Amino acid sequence: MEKPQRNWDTKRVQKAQRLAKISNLMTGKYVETNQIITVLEALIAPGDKVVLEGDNQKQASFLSQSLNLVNPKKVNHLHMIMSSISRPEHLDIFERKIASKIDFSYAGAQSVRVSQMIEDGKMKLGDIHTYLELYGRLFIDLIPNVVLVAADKADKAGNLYTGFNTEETPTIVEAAAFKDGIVIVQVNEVVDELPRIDIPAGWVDVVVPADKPYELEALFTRDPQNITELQILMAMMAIKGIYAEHGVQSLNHGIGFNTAAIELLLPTYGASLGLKGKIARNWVLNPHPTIIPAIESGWVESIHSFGGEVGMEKYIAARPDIFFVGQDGTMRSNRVLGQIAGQYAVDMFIGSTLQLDYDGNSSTVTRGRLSGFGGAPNMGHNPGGRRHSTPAWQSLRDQDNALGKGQKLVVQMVETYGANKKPIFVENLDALAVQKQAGLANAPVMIYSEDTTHIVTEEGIAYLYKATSKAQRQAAIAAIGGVTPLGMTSTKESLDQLRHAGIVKLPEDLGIKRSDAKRSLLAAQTIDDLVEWSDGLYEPPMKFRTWS
Amino acid sequence: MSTAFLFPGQGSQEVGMLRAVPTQYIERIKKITGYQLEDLPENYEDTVFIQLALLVKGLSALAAVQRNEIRPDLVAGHSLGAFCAAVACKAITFDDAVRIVYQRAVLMKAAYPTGYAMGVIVGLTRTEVAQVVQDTFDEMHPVYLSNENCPLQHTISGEITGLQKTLAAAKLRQARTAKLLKVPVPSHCRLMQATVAALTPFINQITFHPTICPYLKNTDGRMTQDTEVIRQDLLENIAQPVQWNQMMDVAKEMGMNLTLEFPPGNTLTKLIHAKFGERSIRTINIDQHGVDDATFLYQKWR
Repeated sequence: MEKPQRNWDTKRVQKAQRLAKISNLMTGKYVETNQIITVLEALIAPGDKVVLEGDNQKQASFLSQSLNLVNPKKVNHLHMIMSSISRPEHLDIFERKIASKIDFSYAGAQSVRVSQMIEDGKMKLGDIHTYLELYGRLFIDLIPNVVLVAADKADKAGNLYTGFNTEETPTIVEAAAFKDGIVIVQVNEVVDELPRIDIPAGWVDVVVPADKPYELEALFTRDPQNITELQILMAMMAIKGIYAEHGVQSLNHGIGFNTAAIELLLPTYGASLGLKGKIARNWVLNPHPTIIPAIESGWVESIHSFGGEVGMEKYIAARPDIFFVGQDGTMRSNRVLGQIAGQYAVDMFIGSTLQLDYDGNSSTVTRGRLSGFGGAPNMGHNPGGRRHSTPAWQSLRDQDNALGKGQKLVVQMVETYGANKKPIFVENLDALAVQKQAGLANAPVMIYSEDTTHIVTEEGIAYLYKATSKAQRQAAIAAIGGVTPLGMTSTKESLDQLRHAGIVKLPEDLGIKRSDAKRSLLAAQTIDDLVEWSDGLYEPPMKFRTWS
Repeated sequence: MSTAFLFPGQGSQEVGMLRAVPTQYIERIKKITGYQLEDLPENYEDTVFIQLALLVKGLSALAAVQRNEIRPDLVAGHSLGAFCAAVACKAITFDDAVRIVYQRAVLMKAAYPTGYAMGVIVGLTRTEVAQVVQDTFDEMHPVYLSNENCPLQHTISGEITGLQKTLAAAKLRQARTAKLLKVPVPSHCRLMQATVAALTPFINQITFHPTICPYLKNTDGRMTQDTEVIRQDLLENIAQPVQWNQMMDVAKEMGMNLTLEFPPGNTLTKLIHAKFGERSIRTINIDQHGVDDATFLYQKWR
């Protein structure tokens, strides 16, 4: 057989040609801040796959704003790959016809415009992925031609320090650097010596000092003042009826006030139950300020984080036994490894949602808002092939099946009436209408019913994994549905049966008095209390301060 | 930072609101349309008066604000307010806005001189209101679901006895408020389709100009700077629900963090507070603060 002749390095040659076009603008790997538009126009070709770094915390904001200013006659039809669509210009590039296609995971802050633009055909949707699917696909069939990322500091050679907010930067860079893609980095600061090297200069093609530091938001700070007694009641139920019941040792918490309440009850209510050292020891968690009292009172062994949190830097640096901290004394986060750990290496995920259907499927996609999801679909499911031997995992095992294995605990914690005073439980998820409107292959469900093992409401806990039929599952959800239309379908007889079978537990079944759920149980009742717990190391951002 | 200019529509008018309007504006209206605006209580029953009065109230304040060098990054007007918004982004001139609105109001009044109106329902979702409207629908007294002001505030438009029946049914389904609005025509529903057709040749003669900032569309909540799209929106909004809720969502996503609501009233500011809370967006209400204080606040916050 005759082998056809071909070149095996076309992409490498093309990359060299593109970089040659800007050689006159480069000093080493550096280009001037005010040359960035010319640089982008030279390095990005029509139709390129481009990763623009934006996740829910850190944003390559200088590069996104600059990309929006390129000439659409020169740069167009880009296929954007972004874990999070967060900023107006992320969509303006589609309005300006610089980009035409998108693959993404999360669009919370731009979800209405995303819906509109997909419906209007201004933005062609590749897919809405879970984080790990999106990161994985960067190495399979969404291999980028150009990546635009952000770092805190660079040295003269182009080595990068990404520090607390390393997040997914190394992963994005790797997908381009080793496949002849072009890596363009905006940096806050150029220094002679880096605290440490997070990304080596050899992986980087172009460094540009940004006009101002990249955008960074404190997304995981929950002010304890806003935690209600209803949330405290639910937190007590969860600690006793789930954490203690199953012996949950490793876990992830969502970002809501419900789980913040749990964090703040561990050192008080949890301790009174004698649970210290027995539950909630190993975490994959963003550095929630509300976890400080649990750390300080010795509950927490370790925390690996997806990203940083503004204000937590000094505290984390002073707690290297707990957090992942480099020799230089600053944290290294890693979103990809954190997501893998959260999906594959923990006993439990517990979070909240905006809607649950009567079967227990949940979604935060509501009418007209194509928001996608954060980490919940990764962490909120049971990886089918996993085998695991922790007590919590094994406690969900079907004892009648010789090959039966355990299951990850996936817990949804919701008040029966949501923020707009409408029932959380809906007959049909809005996700179905949004699917039709946007022409999606799959309805944007966040966590599927089959993966959901428990639902906690202020009425009680439904142990869904124990239900033996779909009807029983629905009855269990109805039994803790309160006075919502779904809850009203539950009869006393059905409730008694479910309680008898251990499928539903009310606070009294757990030995919890509703009147005991008081704010005084919280280990910290204000942001100020958190600062005090941290020995003054936690420095809350301005908007969370009650003092000046 | 992004500043939005917001202009209210019918329902916000108050007797006496023309007193503070400089007389040259009233005279200008008379000159263009032949209509003499007189601030008498009985005139507030007439949609031609109401629409011209609202227009001149908003546009005279706009001129004062513009003199103080305050510029919008986005403009949005609710129903009739859309014409003020179109002037604020310079898509049309003051005189052309007056011409179109006069024509629009006369046609609307001619189509439904009496017996029709609009109502508002607070505390139910759009799906819930749609259900009430469907359950109480009567062809002899038609009522349609119209504007979406915020997730739990919707309007209905139609024949007055039908409206009363639907509003009563909404109350039975736990609506917090369900009442008639001060709007004497059934705007923003299909009952106005013939009016749209009648207005088309008129609006098509008007010259539109390049805008200085994006305009938010009533009919589908999109943002645009395309003058033909704005022309269609101004034409068709009489017969389609105002997607105010979606317009404000888009404004927020575009970075809106300061709003100036033009007179009269504070309906749109209240909607911002209901939707986004009182902290995330700074609101300036010109009716409440006056142009000078509004300018001071704008300069402080901007």
